[in-house]
Parts: sequence; structure tokens; C-alpha cells
Amino acid sequence: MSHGREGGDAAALLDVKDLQVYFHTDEGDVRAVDGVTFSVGEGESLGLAGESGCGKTTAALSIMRLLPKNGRIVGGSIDYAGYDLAKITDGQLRQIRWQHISIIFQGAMNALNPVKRIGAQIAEPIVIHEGVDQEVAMKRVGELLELVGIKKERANEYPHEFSGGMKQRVMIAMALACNPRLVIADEPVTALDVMIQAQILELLERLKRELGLSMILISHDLSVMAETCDAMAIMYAGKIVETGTARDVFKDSRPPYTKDLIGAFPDIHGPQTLPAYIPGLLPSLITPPEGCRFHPRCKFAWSKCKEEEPKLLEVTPGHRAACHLNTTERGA
Amino acid sequence: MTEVRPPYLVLRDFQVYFSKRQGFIEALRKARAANVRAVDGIDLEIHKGEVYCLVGESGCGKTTTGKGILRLVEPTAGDVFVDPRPADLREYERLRATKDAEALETFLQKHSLTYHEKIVRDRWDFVQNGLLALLATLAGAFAAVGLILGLDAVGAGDAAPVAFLVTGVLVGFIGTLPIVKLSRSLAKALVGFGLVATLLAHLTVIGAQLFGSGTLPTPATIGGAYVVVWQENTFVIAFLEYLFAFLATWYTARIFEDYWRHRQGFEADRMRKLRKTLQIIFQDPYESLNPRHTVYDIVSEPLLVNRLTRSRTETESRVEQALNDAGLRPPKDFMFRYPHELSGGQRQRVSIAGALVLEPDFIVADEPVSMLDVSIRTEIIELLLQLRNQKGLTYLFITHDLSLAWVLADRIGVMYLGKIVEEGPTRELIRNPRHPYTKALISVVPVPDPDRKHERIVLKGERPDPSNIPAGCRFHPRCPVAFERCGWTSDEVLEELQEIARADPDGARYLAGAKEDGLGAFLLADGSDAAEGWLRSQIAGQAETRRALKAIEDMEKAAGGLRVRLHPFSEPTLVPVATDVKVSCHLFA
Repeated sequence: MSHGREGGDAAALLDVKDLQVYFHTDEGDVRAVDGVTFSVGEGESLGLAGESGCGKTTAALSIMRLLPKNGRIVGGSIDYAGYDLAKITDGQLRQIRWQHISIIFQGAMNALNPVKRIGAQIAEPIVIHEGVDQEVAMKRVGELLELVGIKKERANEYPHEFSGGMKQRVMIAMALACNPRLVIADEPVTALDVMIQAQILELLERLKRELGLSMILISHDLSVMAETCDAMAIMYAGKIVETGTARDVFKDSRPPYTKDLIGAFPDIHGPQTLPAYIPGLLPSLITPPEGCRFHPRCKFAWSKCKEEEPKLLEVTPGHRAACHLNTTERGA
Repeated sequence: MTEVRPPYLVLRDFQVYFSKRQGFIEALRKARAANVRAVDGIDLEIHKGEVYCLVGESGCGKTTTGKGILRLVEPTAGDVFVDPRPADLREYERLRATKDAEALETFLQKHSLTYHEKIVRDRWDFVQNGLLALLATLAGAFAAVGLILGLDAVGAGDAAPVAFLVTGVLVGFIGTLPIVKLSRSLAKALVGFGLVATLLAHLTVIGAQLFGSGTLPTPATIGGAYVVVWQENTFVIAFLEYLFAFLATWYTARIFEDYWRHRQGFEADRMRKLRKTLQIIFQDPYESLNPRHTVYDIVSEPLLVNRLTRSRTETESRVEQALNDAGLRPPKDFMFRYPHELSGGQRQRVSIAGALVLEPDFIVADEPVSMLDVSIRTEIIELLLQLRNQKGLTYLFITHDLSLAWVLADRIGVMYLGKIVEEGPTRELIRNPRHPYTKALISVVPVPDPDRKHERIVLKGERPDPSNIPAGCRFHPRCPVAFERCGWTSDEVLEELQEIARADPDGARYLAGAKEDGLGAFLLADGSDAAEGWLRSQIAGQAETRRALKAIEDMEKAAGGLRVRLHPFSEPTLVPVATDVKVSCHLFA
């Protein structure tokens, strides 16, 4: 597996096809991710967005097979450099984790071990995954900290000595510890202040540029993504409703859900009026609505939306949408 | 939006300090404990029916301001007026101007929410302690006298009573004083026990003497009789007598205590009344609702605590009304659910209902939507605004999200490190920001449009420590346009020079042995022309990017090297610069 870096598809680094992830509960299977397809190109950043509970974090976690005990990948494939991450053995997956794909977990405040020095925490994956000794690893820790804008002397400090933004930087340094090609960032700026948020986003952009990283950015905050992502995928109730370049999705959004979601953000440069909101609640994922899953909340739903599930179809090259409005407009 | 409305809430020089925990060594080194100056003197006026937004980075003191107004944290200084009459406000300003301390004190006692009866309470504390010590002394004395009299009577029969009394008082005083110091309640119990028990015992003795012989008793005969009575009584009767005496005293002590507390809590009492009109909605509805209480329990609690309803049906109807107002319809469906059965938006509505049930006039909304999904935020905001229109509510809205403030506030105040740095009507403040910090904050607000790549002013570093606030303008170390008199001190300028010298061996040589000479100057050990030339060239070349260098006013050769003097500086104050707009920045002074 160690030579896996050289192989694979040059265009798409990661190719997720028809992924299905179910959680087993007493009430029935929760279909958190139900047939999701997306891909991340080399050096590309993909934004995975949607309301909380739409399955975006589950989709990302299943790439690394980090699902909780009751969750399992039911179907689909996750192609990375010629390997199907959904099917390879745990041992093989361990080779991929961190050295190829790493993750910046949600909530930097709680993701660090409070009783270990941050240097040791960053060194841990290096020692485990690269098999080097502690000294080499600590040297690399110094470089990593400088890379994310922390003085390397601070490696000997404990997490409580860092502010929220600094902890997030530590988390980023940790994710970069083994030179991964793909970094999954799960709500990397959600709990942070606007100014720190801007600093972290700037850092992520710089790292992406300098290290040629590919990135999956998961967030409910579309406005953050508009500034940082090349490509977007909008999820609703376990399904992808639209994918395309950031421009496609933001400026030429097709499904009403995407439009509503974008419209829900107040725009400081726009009119001084309250943004619209999406009435209703996210449907139960145990018994999702028939047809289009968004139809109970959709302003434009019609009979076909209740009966037939829309497919993710290409509307313009590289821009796909799953909405009947769209296809019938074009078809009829 | 701009018509003149009477102010509902007025803050003057409002401060909230937290004392910092110090280590032993730290305490030895520093004479005074450092304070965290969370809110460091702000003036604020919120008008009736207005939505006033406080924005700023976390830790700038916006939440502390909100909590301080409601006295959920104790303000350190400053005055807060709720719904003041304009005449009262004028009177207040007049009294402040005339510096008539006594009249101001009387005025504040009557009107200010933060008024502390500090002096009075201290005096009362003194009197209370004194009284308690006295009573404890007397009680101890009585007990001791009784004991000695008794013992003595058993032995000899007629020793001098005065000597007993003196010994008793001494023993009692010495014996009970430490207890008073140690524990108020223990002292009270002892006082009760000693005083009343001994008094009762003595009264019994005196009574027996009086009615027995018909003559007035002398202390000696009392002493003798006391022992007799004691010996004649059974143990049980004595015990009951003592127990009764103890309970009676304990109860009396409680009544006294309540009276004292009432006297002390004059302002607390008024505060409790005001709490009905001032309410708060917290940030996280997942944490602010008790998971073991039903919606009904949560919303009815304020009513029960404040004893506002007389019957269960009345409580129920008011809870129903509040839930209905908060948009949880029909209320009957929600009343007996637990928080975990509700969505995030519904939970926040329960919080709102809990605040509404007391029919407040003023609500502090502390980031009420930041934990909610974007798709439902507007619903909650819309509800809050709707309530303002229906019930004439006034809001202090605390948020870090300027784009939210943009769509909802009438006026915005930008806070930085415990101070308001800019304040103005929303449109003016967002479209035409004046303070460099406001400009930076607005520039980093993310915009949901990939085509609008605007220039972001990303400030370096994080907000500084509120326990160690920079001199001069507190924003100057991060300010992209800071200049000469913004507050650069010698240590900051030296640090900047050291930073340059890291990549400049010449500079490192010139800077070796440099030391501060007060806040406004520093000394370079190397007084040569070369050193001066180097410094001048750095100022000429780098002052635009390394703003601290701008502070250097001039340099002169002095004994022991080159003395570099800095520009004098001052702290900017919040001054009006346009209609309704106030800015605290030297650029506008």
C-alpha cells in the first residue's frame, strides 16, 4: 500500500459512488447517507454542505471508516488510488489513514487530549504511521507548528494554554503530520470568531496552495464555502441534491433547496432585510418521504415530486442537480 | 428608526472586573492582584423598542455587559438606569457635573440598578458582629456565673458574688469571641443556648425565692437557691427547659437575621422586582434547558418563583399564552414534552417563552441563534422582531455575526477589549465604518457569493489579554493604521526592532544591550553614528508595515549610548463624529 501514492486516477483523487451508510437503531435503520456520489480532484477543495443532520459528516467519516459502532457502509464504493476504501481490510486502511487521508475533527476545543503536551499529540501519528523515532518526529512537529503559524517552542505546552484559534491550528498541524494528500475538515471554523475564522481559512487556503492538498470541507456555513471551495456538493436528508463548481452552485443553483439554503444567509453587502428561511423540519431518515425528499418543504413541489425520486442529472457540463423542476423544464 | 425615543436602559461608566486568581509566588511579587477588565467603562443608551446590537470578538466583554446589566455577574462600578424619566437623567448628569457626592449617593440609591449600600452594609456588619459578640459574651458569662455559683454553693455556701460575676464575664468573653469570628451560625446557636437557658434557670430560681420567702433575693441567696432548684428538678425537666430555650432563641435569631438581611437587601429586593421586566435568552438551547423538566416546568418556573399566579389554572393559562407567543402552537402539544423531544429551533422557542412569561420590557438576547442551523435562524429572529412590534420589547442583542446585526439591529455598538470603539445606526456603521477595527470586522464577514472576492483585512494575532490591556488605544498593537500617538511603548518598539534584527546581523549588534528607559524611551548601548543610521533607515524603510517604528520621535546621543524617545500617547475617548455616530480613535480626534 505504501506505493499507492503513485497509482490511481489523475483527475479524481477520491471517487465516492452511490455510498449508502445506515445506522441501526431500535426504531429502524437510519439511512443517514443514501446513495451519495461525489469526487475530489487532485488539489481541489470540495465543499460538502447542508443542514445539520443531512448526513454530510457521516459521509465524510465513512471515507475513513470512522463510523460509530451502530453505523455501517451498506453499499457503494469509495475509490482512492485504485483501492475501494469501503472494502479493503483494516490493515490496509490503516496505511491510508493519516498518510494519505487525514481529518480535522469538529470542535478543536474538545478534540485535543487535555493532559498531553501538544507536541506529543502531534508526534503520535508520525511515530505510529511512519515508524520513525521520537526525535525525528519531534523535529517534524516543530516544522509543522511553524507551518501553521505557531512558534515551535510551544510544542511543550498543554492544550489549555492555547486559545480556540490556536487549538484549531494545532489540529491542522496534526492532520498534516504525515503529509496526506487529502484532508477532510469537519466544520473547521464553526465555533470560532469571525476574525479567527478568517485567519484559519487563510491558513487552509495557503496550505492547499503550497502543499497541493486536496480538501473536503464540511460545513453548514455556505458563506464560508463560497470563499474557499472550488467545487460544491449540497446534501439534503442523506442525498446529494446538487454538485458542481462553486460558481455553478452559488450563481446558477437549480434545486429550490440550494436556493433556499443560500437565501437563508444574511448578506452584509446586500439589502438590509431578513433573509428567507426554510419552513418545516428535516424529515425522519428512518422513513424518508416518498419521491423527492425535500417535497414537503418545497415551495414548488408538484405531483411528480411526491411520486418519483429525482435523479442527479447533468444540467450543464460538470453541474448536476436532482430536481424534477429542472429536468421537466428542460425536457418539456 | 431615527425618531427620538426615550432611553429605556442607560449605562454610565459601566465596569465589570473579575479578580484574577494568583499563585503564591505571583502574589509575593506583585503588590496588587490583577483584574481581568472584562468591561472597562462603557456608556450605553438603548431606546424604547430598539434593537441594539453589541458585536465583537469573543472575550471582548459583550456577554459580560449583558449579564452585568441583569446583575447575573456583579458589576464593579458604574450606574445602570432602567426606564428612567428624562428629568431624572438630567438630574443625574447635573449631579455628576457638580460632583456633589452626597446628593449623588442619595440619587443613585433611589435610581441606579447597580447601587450598592456598601458603606451602610459595612456599618451594619460591624454592628451585627458587635451585637453578636456582646450577646455571646453575656451568655457565656451567665453560664459561667451559674456554674461557679453552683459549684461554690456546693462547697462553701457564701463567697462574694461580685468576684464570680467578674470571673464569669471574663471567661465568657474569652471563650466565645473566637467562636463569633469562626462561625456566625455557631455563635448564634451558642448565644441562644447559653443566654436563654441560663436566663430561664435564673428566673426559676428568682421566682422560687420571691414566691417562697416573699423577700427580695440577694445574689448570695440566689446562688444558694439556684443549686437547690437544680438539685430538686429532675433531669428530664431541666433538659426540656433547656431544649425549649434553645429553640426559642434559635427562632428569634432567625427573625433577627431575616430583618438584617432585609435591611441589607434593600436593593436586592428592588432587583427582584426588576427581574420581571429584564430577561435574558441564552445562546445554547441545548444547555440552557433542564433536560429533566418538561416545557411546562421550565416556562412556569419564573411565575412560581416570583409568586405571580394564584392558581394552577392561572399558571397554565399564562404558560399557554407564552408558548403561543413564542410560536409553539398549539401550546397543549408542547407543554408536557421534554427538551430532548424538541428540535433546536423549538428549544430556543421554549427559552423565549420562559423569558416572555413574565411579560418583560427588555430582553438581553445573547447569541440566540448562533447554535441553530442557518435554515431556521431567520424564523427565530423574525419571532423576536414580531414580539417587539406586538409588545414593545427592547432588545440588547449580543452577537459576533455582523451580517446578522446588519439585518436586524437599529443601532450597533462595536466592542473591543471591554470598550465600545464605535457606535452608530446600522446602515451608517456598516456602509461607512470609521474605526479600523470595525472596518476589519466587516471585511472578514463571509459572503455567500463566490464572485465577490473582496479584500479581507485579516488582523494579526488574537485579541490581547483583558488582564493586561495595552497602553493608549487598546487596539493599537493589531491596528493596520496605528500611528505615532496610538500608544506604542518602549517595550513594544524594542520588540519590533528585535524582530527585524532576527534577519539582520548588523541590527542585532546595534540592539545588543538595549534597554527600556520608562514607557516613553529606550537606550541603545551602541551610541555610534552607524547605529543611529541603521535605526533611521529602518524607520524610513519599514515604518509603514511595522507600525511600532512610527512611534520613534527622535534620538540623541546620551551617556551610555543612544537615547531614543517616543511620541507621547493617550487613550482615545468615544467622541461624536457624525449624527448619532461615535468613534473612539485618534484618527477622528
